[in-house]
Amino acid sequence: MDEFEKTIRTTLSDTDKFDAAKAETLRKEIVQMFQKKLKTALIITWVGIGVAVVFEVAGWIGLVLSMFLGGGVKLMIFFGVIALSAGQLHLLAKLCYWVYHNEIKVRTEVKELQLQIAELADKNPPAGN
Amino acid sequence: MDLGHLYFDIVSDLELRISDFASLGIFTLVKSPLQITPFMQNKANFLDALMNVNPYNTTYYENKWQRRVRKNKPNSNPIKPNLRKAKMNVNSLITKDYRKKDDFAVQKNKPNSKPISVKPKMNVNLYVTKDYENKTVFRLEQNKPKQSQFQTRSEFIPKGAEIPTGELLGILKPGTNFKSEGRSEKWNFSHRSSDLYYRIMRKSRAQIYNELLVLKCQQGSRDAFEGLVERWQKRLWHYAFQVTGSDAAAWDVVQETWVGIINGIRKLGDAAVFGCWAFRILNNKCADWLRKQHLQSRLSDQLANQAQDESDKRQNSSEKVESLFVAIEKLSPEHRALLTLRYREGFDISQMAEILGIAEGTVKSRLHRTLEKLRQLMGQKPNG
Repeated sequence: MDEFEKTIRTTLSDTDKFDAAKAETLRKEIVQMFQKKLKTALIITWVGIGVAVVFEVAGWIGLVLSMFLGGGVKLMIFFGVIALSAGQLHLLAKLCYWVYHNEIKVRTEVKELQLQIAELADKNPPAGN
Repeated sequence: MDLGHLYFDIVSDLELRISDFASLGIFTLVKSPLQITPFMQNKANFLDALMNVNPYNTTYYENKWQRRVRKNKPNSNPIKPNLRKAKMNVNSLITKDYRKKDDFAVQKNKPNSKPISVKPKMNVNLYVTKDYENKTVFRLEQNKPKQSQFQTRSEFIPKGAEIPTGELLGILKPGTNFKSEGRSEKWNFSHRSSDLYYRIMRKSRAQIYNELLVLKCQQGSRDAFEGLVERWQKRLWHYAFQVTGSDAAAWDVVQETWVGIINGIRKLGDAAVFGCWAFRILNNKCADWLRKQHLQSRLSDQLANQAQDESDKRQNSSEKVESLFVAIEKLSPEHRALLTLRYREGFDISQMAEILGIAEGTVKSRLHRTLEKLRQLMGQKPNG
């Protein structure tokens, strides 16, 4: 990097018209948006799981009733398919959630460990470096 | 002709004649145990067994036998091993590297004025450690990579390298298949492994903390997201301001960028590339804003400003600007974006290419042209 480039760097760093008050307002807005997004995701997840559970229970009840009250084979198959599909969907959703969160959890723990190592390395720098 | 050859020729001639008799069915010539087994197995009556012999097999044996006799003649055109092909398969980089390694071995035997005193204290992979030692002694620091290279590039990992420490520390992208990455094959092993060493040992705390914040955001932590906004908002705003040239527009663009980040942060696979990713979103939003502005201005006062613009351009090109700040302001948004990314944010060429969505060569040439233009505006002589 020559002198000219160094001057450019200094000039670009010096020209700071950043409005801190505006930034604070925007930060709050953005965090609220993030919270809203999280809440929406949570609601959608729980509603989806609730619907799956309702369908599963309804399917099993329908299957049992059609078995004992003589609803016919077609009806039994229909209820059976609904119960099994809803159950599988429910399980799949939970599994995906579990996989995603565990992966991130492990990576977070590793990163925390890495941060601790970096802190230790900063405290005790290797000789000659 | 010596006696051995004469004897051999007579014997082979005799055998050929006997085989002719055998093929006529006068008697059976047994030359090989393979020939016996098909018709002697569990067969008491030899004549019956002879009747059952498969003609195809017989022919095959005969041919084989005859061929074996003729095979002993000197071959005028022997098959040579294809050495050329084997030569072509050798990787030139590996050969070079070996050559260097040999050089090292020779140099190692000389009395060393600079004994190896530096050994990494952390649990770095043995191979990397060795290589680092070599580098310290023989190449000094000529290949020491820049700090900004350590952030994102998973393809800097050498082909076939097994680095449990890096994987453990989360420096490498989990699940990255190093062996299948085409780009990594082009790199010299020793050079890249040194990069890896620096990436492990020299990753800044701020950077690790940033990655941690991203991961916690992905888990849904509000505080982590707030921290992330606090850390990146100023940088994003500055870039937007440089590109758009307007304070209000910069805030709008930054807000839109954060919306994009909120929507996509869960899908971000590698927390280390957050910076590049966020700047890329910002760059796209800025481009959208500029396009919109351009369309609006074109619709409103296309005809009215045409003459004025031309005269301004002529004036700008002839005018020598004293201040660098004014000169930067006179550049196009594209050029200002390049300068900001390079000199304010400190991204390297490959990261800039990722952010701007263009090739590294294009980034280099554009940056060069920008600097030339800036020099021209400042009244300096262009380099090179």
